[in-house]
Amino acid sequence: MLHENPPMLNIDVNHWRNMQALFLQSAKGKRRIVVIHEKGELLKVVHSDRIAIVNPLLKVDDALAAAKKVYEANPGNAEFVMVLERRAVEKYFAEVQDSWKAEEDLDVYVHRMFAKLDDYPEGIVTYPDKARDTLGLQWKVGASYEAVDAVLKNLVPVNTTILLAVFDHNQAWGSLVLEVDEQKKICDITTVDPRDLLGSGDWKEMSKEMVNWVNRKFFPCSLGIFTDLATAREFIAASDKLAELKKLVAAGKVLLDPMPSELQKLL
Amino acid sequence: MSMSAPSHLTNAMKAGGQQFQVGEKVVSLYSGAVHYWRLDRDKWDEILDKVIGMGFNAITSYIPWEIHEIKPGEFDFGQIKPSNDIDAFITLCESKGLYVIVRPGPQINSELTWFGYPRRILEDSQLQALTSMGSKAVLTQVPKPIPALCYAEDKFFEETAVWYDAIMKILAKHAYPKGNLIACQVDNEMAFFFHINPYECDYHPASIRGYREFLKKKYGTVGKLNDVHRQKYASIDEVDPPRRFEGQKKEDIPVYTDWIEYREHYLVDSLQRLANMMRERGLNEIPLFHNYPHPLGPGGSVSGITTPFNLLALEDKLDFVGFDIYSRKELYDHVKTVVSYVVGTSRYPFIPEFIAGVWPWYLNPGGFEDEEFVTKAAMMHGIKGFSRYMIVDRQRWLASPVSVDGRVRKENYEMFRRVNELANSLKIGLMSRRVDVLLMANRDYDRLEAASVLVTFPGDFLEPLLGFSEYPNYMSVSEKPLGFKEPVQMAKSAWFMKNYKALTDTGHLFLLSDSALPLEKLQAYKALVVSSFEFMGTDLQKKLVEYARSGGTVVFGPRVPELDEQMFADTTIKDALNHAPSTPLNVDGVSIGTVYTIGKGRMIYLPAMEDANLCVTAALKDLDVIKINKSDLRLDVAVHVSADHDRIIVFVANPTAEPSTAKMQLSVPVKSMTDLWESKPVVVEDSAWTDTLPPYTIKIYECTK
Repeated sequence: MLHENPPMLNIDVNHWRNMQALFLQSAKGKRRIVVIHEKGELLKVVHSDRIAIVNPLLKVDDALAAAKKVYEANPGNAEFVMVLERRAVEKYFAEVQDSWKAEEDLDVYVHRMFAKLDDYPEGIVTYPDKARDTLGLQWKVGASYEAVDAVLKNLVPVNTTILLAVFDHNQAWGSLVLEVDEQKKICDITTVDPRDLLGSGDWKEMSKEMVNWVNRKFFPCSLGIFTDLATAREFIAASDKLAELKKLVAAGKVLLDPMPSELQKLL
Repeated sequence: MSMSAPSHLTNAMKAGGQQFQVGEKVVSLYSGAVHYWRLDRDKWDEILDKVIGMGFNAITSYIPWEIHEIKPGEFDFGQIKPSNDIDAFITLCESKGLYVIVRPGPQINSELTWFGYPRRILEDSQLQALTSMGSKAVLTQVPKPIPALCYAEDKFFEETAVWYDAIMKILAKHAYPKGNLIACQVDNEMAFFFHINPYECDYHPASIRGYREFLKKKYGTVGKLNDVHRQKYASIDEVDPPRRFEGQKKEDIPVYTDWIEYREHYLVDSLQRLANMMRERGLNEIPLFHNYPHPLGPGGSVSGITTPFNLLALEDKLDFVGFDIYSRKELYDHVKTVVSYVVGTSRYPFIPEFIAGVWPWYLNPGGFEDEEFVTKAAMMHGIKGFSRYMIVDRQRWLASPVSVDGRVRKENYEMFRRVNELANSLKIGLMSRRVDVLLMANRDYDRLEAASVLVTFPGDFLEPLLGFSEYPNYMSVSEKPLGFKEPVQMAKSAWFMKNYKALTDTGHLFLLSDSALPLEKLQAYKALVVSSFEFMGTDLQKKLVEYARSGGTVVFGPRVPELDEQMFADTTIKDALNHAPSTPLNVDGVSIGTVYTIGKGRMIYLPAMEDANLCVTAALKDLDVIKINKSDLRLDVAVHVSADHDRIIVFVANPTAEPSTAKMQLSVPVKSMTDLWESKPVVVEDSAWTDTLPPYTIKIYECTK
C-alpha cells in the first residue's frame, strides 16, 4: 500500500496532529497491567502507572483466564491487561523479524506483525480485547486492513488523489491528502497547506477550494471526503461503513465530491 | 579516562572550559540543519540567507551515501542531479560566512527510505546484525522497516571505505583552515539501530568474536574469567554471550553485566574505527563527534544516559559527544536530565540534533511554543551549542521555520531569531553553570538494570508493540532480589529519582554525571550524591574515598557496599568508615544518618531517606553550596556566571501546566535584576524577588552583584 519513498512535504502540524488524534490510538498511552511469566511461573505483575494493584494470580496456567482475572480484580484501574510468556515473545519477534523482505511495503510488514499475534494465543495475550486489536499503535478507522486495501484497489482510480478534510465549527480542523500511483500504492501523504488557502465561506465552499488546490499540486482529486468532526467520529465508530456512509451522505453530513464512479455505483 | 589531553584531540578543543575554538577564536555554535540534496539548487542561496536571518552561524547537513551512490564505487556529486553537488553547497555556505558541520554517516537515518545506506548494503545478509534468537534485527520505521547492520563485521567497513574514499576527498578540501568545515559527525545515533534491548542484538558472529576479544582484554586468561563468571569455560573462544536473563543470585550477575559492558564497547569501538577512517582520509584537523540518540518516547528513562551509551569512553576516541533532544515542553525533566548530564560529563556540551519541527510519525507533535521552552531549558542547564534539526523542511519532516520552497513560518521563524539573539547577547556559551553538587548515575547499577530485562523486543519508530520503553525499567526488569536486601535493578532508579527530586525541591543546584567520571573532575564539586547498594565497583569505591579524603562530601545510601561489581568482597568504603570518627546526623533530635570524617572531607551515610528533602538539606547544610530558596517547589532554577564572576544570569523555569507566583532568594548576593526576555527590571531585596511565571515558561534574569 505505501510507496517506498513518499515525499510527505509541507505537512501542516495542526492538521496532522488532529488527524493523528482522530485515527490513531496508542496502547502505550493507556493504563495497563502487565504480567510476565515463564512457563507459568509468575515473574512480574506491574501497573504502568506504578500504582498498587490486586494480584489474584499465583501462577499462569491459562493466559486468557489469568488476564481476565487480573482485569476483574482491578476494576477501573486499567484499560487492559497484557500477559506475556517470555519464550513465546522471543519466538514471536524472531519470526516477525526474519520475515522481512526489502521489497515489501511497510504496511504489509506491520500488518503481518499484528496478524501473527493470533498465532500466539497463549504467549501474548490481552484482555478484554485481542492482542492484535489492542497492542501497539492502532488505527481507529473501524475497518480492517484488508477492507481499507480493498477500497484502495477497487474504488480509487490510478494516478489520482484522495482528499479527506474534517471541519470543526466551519474551520478546517484536519486534512489528509493521499496520492495514489499507477500501481495503486500511496505515493504521497500530506495535508492541505492552509497557507495556500483563503478558507472563506462555510465548509462546503472550503471543500471546493481544497479540491482545486489538490488538482494544482497533485494528481487530480478523484475522491474528496468532507465532513465535520462529530460526524467523522460517528463514522469511525460505525461497524457497517457503507450503510453509515449512505446515511450520512443522504443527510448532508458528509460531502463526497468528487467521487469515483465505482463508489457512486455502491452508493 | 586520562586527564592529560588525549592525542586525538584537535585544536577546536584546546580552549578547554567546555568551549569550541575555531582558529584562535572561541565560538558558540548555533547551527541549523539544511539538506542540500532535498532542495532545488536554485533555492539554496535564498534559503541560506533565511537561516542567517534567524541568527545561526553554522549549517549542518547529512551527506547521504544512499543518494549519492549510483552503483558501488560510482557517485553522483552533482554531475547528474545538480542539487547533489555537496562541494558547491559547502562553498556557498562558506561564501556567506557560515561555518559548516557535516554528517556523512554511513548511517544517517534522516527519514530516508534505507536509513542512509544503499539498499544493497541492507540486503546483504553477511552484514545484517542478528538477534539472540538468530533472526535479523528489524527496526520498524517509515517508509520501510530496515534490518540492523553489524558494526563489527569487517566487510561493513570495507564497503563504507569506498563511500568514505569518495566523500572525504571533497570534505578534506573544506576542512578548516582550508575552508569553513569545522566539525564532522561520525555515523549517527549509534544505538544498535534503536534495538536498545540488550538481548535483541548484536549476535552476529563478528560481534560474538568481538565479545570474546573484549573478555580476553578484560580478564587475560580463561581462569580469571571462570572465577568471575563462576563458570568452567574451556577457552574464551568458546564463550557464548547470554541471550536472555536467567540470573538467580548475585554471583550470576557478572555474566550478564559483561555483555552489557561489551555492548558499550561495541558502539565505542565501531565509532572509533569509522573516525580513524575519516582521519586517514584527510579529516584529521577538525573535531569529530557523535550524537547518541534521545531516549524514545515520553519520559525517556531515568538513566538512559548511561548504558548502552558511554560518553566518557567515546570521548577518549572522539573530540566530543552529545545527545539529541526532541522533547515537548511537558518533558522538561528529560531535557534537564540529558543536558545536565552532557554538561556534567562532556568536553563540549552540544546537542547535535535539537528539535525544530519533527518527523511525521512523531505522535502528538508540539508547536513553536514547545521549541521556545525547551531551547531556554537547554540554555538554562548549560548547553554550549546546538544544531536545530531541521531548520528547513524537507521530505518527511514538518513544522520547520523555513519551508522547502523558501517560505517562512513567521511565528517559528521569529521565535528562533529571538532565542538566538538572546543566546548571542548573553554570550551564554561562554558562561558556566554555578554548581557545587554532582548527582551521579551509577553505571554498574544501570548495567544490572539493563541486563535483567525479562522481555526481548526490537526497536520501533511507530510504537513498540508491547508498550515497553526501549530502555529497561520498572515495567520490564526482573524483580528477583538476587540475594540482596531488595532488587537493586529496581531500587536504584527509585533512589536516583529521590535524590534528583530532593535536590531540585530544596533548591540545591546540581549537575549530573556517571560513576566513570575521573576523580580530578569530581573534585570540582563540593558534594557528590550517589546511590549505593550492597555492591559497588572497586574503582568507584576508591574514588569516593579519595574524593572525601581530599576535602569533598559524599552523600550516599541506602547501603554500605561490601562487594565489588564482580560480587567479590570489597570493603574499601566500609573500612574507611570503620576507621573514621563519626557523628549521627540528626534532625529535630532524630537520627537520619551518620557523618564520617574521612581525611579533609566527609562521607554522609543515609540509610533510609524517608523524607528525602529533609535528608538532603541536613546532609548539605554545613557546606557553602549555591542554593535557592523558593516558595514554590515546582519551580526550577539554574545560575550561570561569567569567567570573571562579574556577570550572573539566573534562569527560573515553571515546567508545569499551571501559573506560579513565587518568591525566590539566591544564596549568592544579587543587587539588581533585569528580565531579559521582557526587557524590564525586577525588584530585588536581600537577593530575593517575586515573580509570576505562566505555565511552561522560563524567565531569564541578568543580575548585578
